[in-house]
Formats: sequence, structure tokens, C-alpha cells
Amino acid sequence: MAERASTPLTAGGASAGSPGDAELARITLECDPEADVRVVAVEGEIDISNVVRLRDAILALPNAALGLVLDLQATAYIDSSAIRLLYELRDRLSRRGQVLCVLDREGSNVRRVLELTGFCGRDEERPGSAQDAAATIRRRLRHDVEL
Amino acid sequence: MLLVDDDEDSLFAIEQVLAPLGQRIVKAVSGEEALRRLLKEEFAVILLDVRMPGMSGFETAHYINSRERTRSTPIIFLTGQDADTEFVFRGYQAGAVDYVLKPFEPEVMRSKVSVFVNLHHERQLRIREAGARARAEAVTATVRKLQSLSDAALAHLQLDELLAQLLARTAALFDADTAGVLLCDQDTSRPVLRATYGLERFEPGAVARAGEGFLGRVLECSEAVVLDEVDEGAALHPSLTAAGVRSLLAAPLIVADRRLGVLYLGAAERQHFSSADATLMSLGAERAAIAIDHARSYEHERQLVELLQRSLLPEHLPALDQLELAARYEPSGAAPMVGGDWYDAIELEQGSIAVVIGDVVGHGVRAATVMGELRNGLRAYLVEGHRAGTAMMRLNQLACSMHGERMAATLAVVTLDPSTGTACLANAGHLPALLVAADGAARFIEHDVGMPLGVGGATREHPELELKVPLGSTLLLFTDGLVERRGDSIDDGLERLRHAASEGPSDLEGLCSHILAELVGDAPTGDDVALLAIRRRPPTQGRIALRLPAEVGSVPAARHAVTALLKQHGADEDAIFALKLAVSEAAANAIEHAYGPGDHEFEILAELRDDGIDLRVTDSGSWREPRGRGRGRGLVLIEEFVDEVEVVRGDRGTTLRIFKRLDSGQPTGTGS
Repeated sequence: MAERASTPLTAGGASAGSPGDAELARITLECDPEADVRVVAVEGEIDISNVVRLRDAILALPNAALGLVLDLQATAYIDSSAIRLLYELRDRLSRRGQVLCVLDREGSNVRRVLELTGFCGRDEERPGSAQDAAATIRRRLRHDVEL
Repeated sequence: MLLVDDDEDSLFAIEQVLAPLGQRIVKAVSGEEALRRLLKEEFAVILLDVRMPGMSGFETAHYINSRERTRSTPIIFLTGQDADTEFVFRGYQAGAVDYVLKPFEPEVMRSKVSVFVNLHHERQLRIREAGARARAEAVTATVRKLQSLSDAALAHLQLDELLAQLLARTAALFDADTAGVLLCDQDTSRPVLRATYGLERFEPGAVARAGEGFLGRVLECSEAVVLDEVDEGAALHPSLTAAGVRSLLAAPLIVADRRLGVLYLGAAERQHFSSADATLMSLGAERAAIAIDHARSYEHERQLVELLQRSLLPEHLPALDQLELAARYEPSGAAPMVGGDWYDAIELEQGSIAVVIGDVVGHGVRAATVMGELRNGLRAYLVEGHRAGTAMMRLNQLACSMHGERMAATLAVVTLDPSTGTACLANAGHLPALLVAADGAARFIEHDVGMPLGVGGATREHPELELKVPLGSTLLLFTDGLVERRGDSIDDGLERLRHAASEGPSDLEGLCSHILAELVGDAPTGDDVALLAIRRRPPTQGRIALRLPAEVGSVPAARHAVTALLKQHGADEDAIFALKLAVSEAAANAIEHAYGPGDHEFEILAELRDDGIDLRVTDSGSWREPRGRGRGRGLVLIEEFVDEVEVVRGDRGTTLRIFKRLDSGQPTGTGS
């Protein structure tokens, strides 16, 4: 059975009563014990004001899993702040022998940002769902182990 | 001395006898050899044996006498005892001055020879003296040229120009190939290369160390020093050795007890500079040091005053929806002192605004201080809600009470309600404001102008004028530096301004630049120039003007505002995303660069035009190049998503200007 937890990500640094207080994004953290892959889904917008909270939420996850799936299919907005975090996550995870997989929607602006910043290749194989992504991670790790 | 005898034993013997005289002895065994020797060098005296095979002594003497160069060299004949009177006479005829008989007595020979040796030295001395006199005259002429190094004209040059002049003139004086000056930095007191002449590659800021290297050591001397030959031990700066400098003359620059630096000259040949040159250089350096000290302290004060004055000018002009503001300020160029011009724009209650332009009489720190007092006093009265005329009157009372008759200033104040266009103008002896209609027609506002501040005592009332500023029209306030030109009347200048304002471009910043270019151009003004422009524009839905705190929380706020504007316009999702990205990245950048004390806010201006959206994000720092690999991504992303990106560095900050083409969409939302 998958565990779920959901957290709102408000803008950091905004003073009380200012427009920034409105919820910018909501993240959902799932853990598939069978697959041993963590799935973090982000709904809404990630920018410089709340990216730190996203980072904190992800890094707080126990890190025994094979990998992390970051599901951005419902993310309406990302920019260079999120990209910076993605690069950092990929580095950290790979140092621990774990895989990061990003899920996005075809033709979306989020995908465009991922490709323009070089985080994802244009012709890269893209999993279509979180289950697909988890399977990809397992496959990739088994492949590595077999080598 | 030259000894000529075919008998080598004899030569040897004579040499021994004459050795104690301490002169250099050259021997020749024949007349021919003697003549050859005489071609090459000069001798104090020649001892010549009469009887020699080949060329006899007499013949040799004859030749010696026939040559200009050797004619005056004394010849002492050496002869055997069988000389008789006639023989002696013949000898004198041949040019001998004396005889020594062989075998000779050592004492006699020595004393005769020494007489002529001494005579020779005295002659040499007299020749040198004559030369010295000629040189002394040359020195007088040179000293007059030296005066040119410190003449009155140089006293008004700015430091860099002064250094260039000094170096060129000094190099010409000493016929040097290169020259340079090191000045001790006023903070660290390390000597820094400030200017050079004749060197191809100049590395400004190259630092020497006091006491180290040749120039460093000269810094600690009290007089000029000559370096005849540059070798490895001289420890010269590499750019000097690279330039092929082989000899140097350097002098410390000293004023009172302060060491300002070192002035040096270099020549491509060795031993180019003499000790007389060194004396002259010391004198020259004294004058140069005074001139440099003078220019430096002016420079210092000028910078101080400019800093003070700039700190009293508003950091940002208010960004109001129905009002556009632009300003230009240029401190006076040529004069070493900065004047007392200022402008100000103050937001009042209920969306009104007050704009001010002023000119304090005088220069320097005093004028700048008075300016600060007037500015602050006026702000207080206006913010309290007083009308322009009342505020002016109160300010005058304040000024008179603080300074009495010792201060004078001209001032113009306009309060304006941008929603109705009603304005109130008070003018204390200042030039008239110029009103430029939307179609370009420009006219000066003629009205009752009150007395300047500080003149005529405190008054009970100050005249004020009510006027209407129509939509789309521009009000221009300026100081006399803009319109005054030597040789022209002020009316000519005003007319030139009127013309430039009506012919200028339609955007406000462009108009200000145009006016400055037309009226001031490149000519350095003797006075400060200040220009303030206010334009009343219709309220537009297609516009945002926001001033936000420089914190990350402002980024979503900026994004939401831009999104709302675009949704109103009916823009498509992709265009909205692009602008969301652009404004977020630009705002994040502005926030990350908010280091300075004035950086607590940044500004966003977005305007919908016919063809697209114009977005400007302005921070008060300078656009710093992205640091680290991650930072540049923001700019790359912006560039990919919009059509135009430009970084515009201004006086008060950096603006990132973005433009994206939009299809004319279906406006949604509230009625237009």
C-alpha cells in the first residue's frame, strides 16, 4: 500500500498579509514500498520563493529507496530556480547510486524549460506515468548492476 | 706622457724615473710610432729623442707641430752631451720647450716633466671651466623652460591632464625617450604608476614598493638620482626594461614633508643623463610636486562634493500610474567645484505629486549643504499638505532664519494631481517652466515670479499660479546650466530649449536625452545642468507600475500582476507562461543583487502596446554577471521565451527590458 502525504508550499519570505501568502504549490509525496521508489508530485508553481521548501521536503525523505520520481505533470510553472534544484538532486542521488526521473507532459512549457536548460534531452525516452518511471528506474539500476 | 726613443733601454730607464709622477706613460720606439700614438690620444708632454734612425727627432717634432691637435703639446728633446748652442736653437725652432741632456739626472728630468704635466692639467681645467660657463647659460634657459612646468595654466588642469602635460614637457626638456610618474595612493600609500609618456604598453595601476627596486628607492631619497646604466641589479619594472630603457633619471616628488611619488625619465642610450641634469630634475620635481598636490586636493574635494550632491538627489523617481517622470543631472565639467543644483519629486497624499527644481548660489561643500537643508525643509512643508506658494514662503522664512543674507537660491515647485491635471506652481526667482503639449507645441509659463530665497528677507506671501496640465502634455523644469552659454543671451538659450522640446522624440526619456544633446552636447559646461520632466498620461488598463520590496516573496506577486494584465488582454497560455518566466527571472535577479543600502526595492513596469508587451524590471544596483553555472540559466531562459532582451545600465540602476510580440487577443474581464 502506498503512503501519501500532502504539503502546501507557500511563498517563502513574504511578510504577513502580502499577496505571496497564497498557496503557490502543493506537493504530494508517495512511497511505493514494493517498487522502493519515492514519488513526489508537484501541483502548482515553483519559483525562487518556494523552491527551498520543496528541496527541504524532498531531502527529508528517507533515502534508502532506489530512486526518486519527480512528477511535474501537474506543475504549471517552473523556472531556473527549480532547474537548479533538479541538477542538485540528480548529483546527490547519483552519488548515492540512486536515480532521479522527471515526469512531465509532452508539449508543455515545463518540458520546454527542462529541455532549454539541458536538464532533459529532446530525444530522451520519457516515461508516461509514475509507474512507468518507477519501472524505468528499476530497469536502469538492474542494468547497472549487471554490468 | 709619451716617450719616444729608439733605444729601449733608455725608454725603460726614463719610465722608471718618471713613474713617481703618477701619470700614464706610453712608449714609442720611432717617430712614426709616436705619430701614430698621437693620432689616438692626447698627452701632457712628449719626451723625444733627437737621434733616431728613420724619422729623426726634429722631423717628428715638425710633424707634431704641423698638426692642429698636437701643436700645443710640449716637447722635451732628449739629446747627448755633444749638443751645442746652434743645435739647441734648432730644437726650439722645431717646437721643443726644453732640453734634457743624456745621461740625465733623474731629479732634473722629473722636475722639468712635472712642470709641463701640471701646465697641461691647468689647461684642461680652464677648458672645463669655459664649458661650465656655457652650460650654466644653458641651464638658465632651461630653468625658464622649467617654469613652464608649474605655470598658472597648469594649476586648473584636472589631475590626469596635468600628469600628461608634465611628462611631455619634462621629457622634452631632457630629451628623454620615455617618462612616467608614480603617485602614492592616498589610502594605502603604495606608489602606483599613474601616467606614462613614450611607453607603448602602459599598465595603469602597476604598483611599486617604497624602498624596493630603483624607483622604490628613489621615493625615499631627497634628491634626483641618475642611473647611468640599467642592468639586472636595478630591479626596474618590466614595462620599462621592455621599452628598452638603458639609463634613468628619477626624482622624488615631495611637498612639505609629504612624499607624493616619483617622477622619472628614461633614455634608450646609456649615460644619457648628467649630474647637471639631476640638479635640474630636482628643481623640476619640486614644481611638479606642487602642481600635482594642488590638482589632487581639488580632485578630492570635487569628488566629495559630487558624492554629497548625488546623495541628496532622489534615488528613484516615483512610478505613478498616470504620470511619467524622467530626470537628467550633469555636474559641471571644467570647473573644479560642483555647483548647488538639485531636483526632487515627492509623492503626496491621494496620488498627487510635487516636483521641485532648485539652484543654490555658490559652489562646493557649502552650497551642497545648503541644498540639503532646503530640500529637506521643502519636503516637510509639502508633505504636510501646504500649497506650493505657502510651502515656498515657509521655506524662505526657514532659510532666512538659518542663514540670513548669506545664502541665496532660486527654486520652482509644482504640485500636480495627475487624475485631474490641476497644478499649482510657485517660482522663487527661477527660470520659467516649459509646458509641451501632446502635439509638440511648447510655451514657457509666464507668471508672477517671486524673489529668490534668502533675498529681500522673509515675505508674508509668495505668489503662486494655478494651471491645467492637459493629458499627454509634459512639464519641463530645468536650471540655468541648461540654457546659459557664454556669448549667448539667455533668451537664445530658452528659445533653443523650446525648439528642442517641441521637435524631440515622443518618449519621455528620449526627449530628455534629445534636449541634453541639443543644448549641452559635448561642450563642458561651467555650471551644473539639471532637467526634470513630468508627463501626464491617460490611465491605461494595459499598464502596471509596481514598486516591490527586494525579497523573494515579491516574485510571485510580480508574476501574478503580469498574468492578470495579460489575461485582461486575452493573451494565450504560452505567451502568459513566457512573461511569467521573464518577470520571475528578472525579479529574482534584482532581488539577489540587492546589496546596497538603497537596494531595498525594485520596480516593475509593464505596458501593453499595439504589437506586444514591454516589460521593464529595474533594480538600483548594477547588473552583475551571473555567477556560477546556475545563474546564467535565467537569462538564457528569458531569451528563449521572449523576442527582445536588453540590459540598460543607467545612473541609478540597471533595467532589464523585455519585449514579446503578442497577437491582439480578445480582452476579457472588466469593461474598458
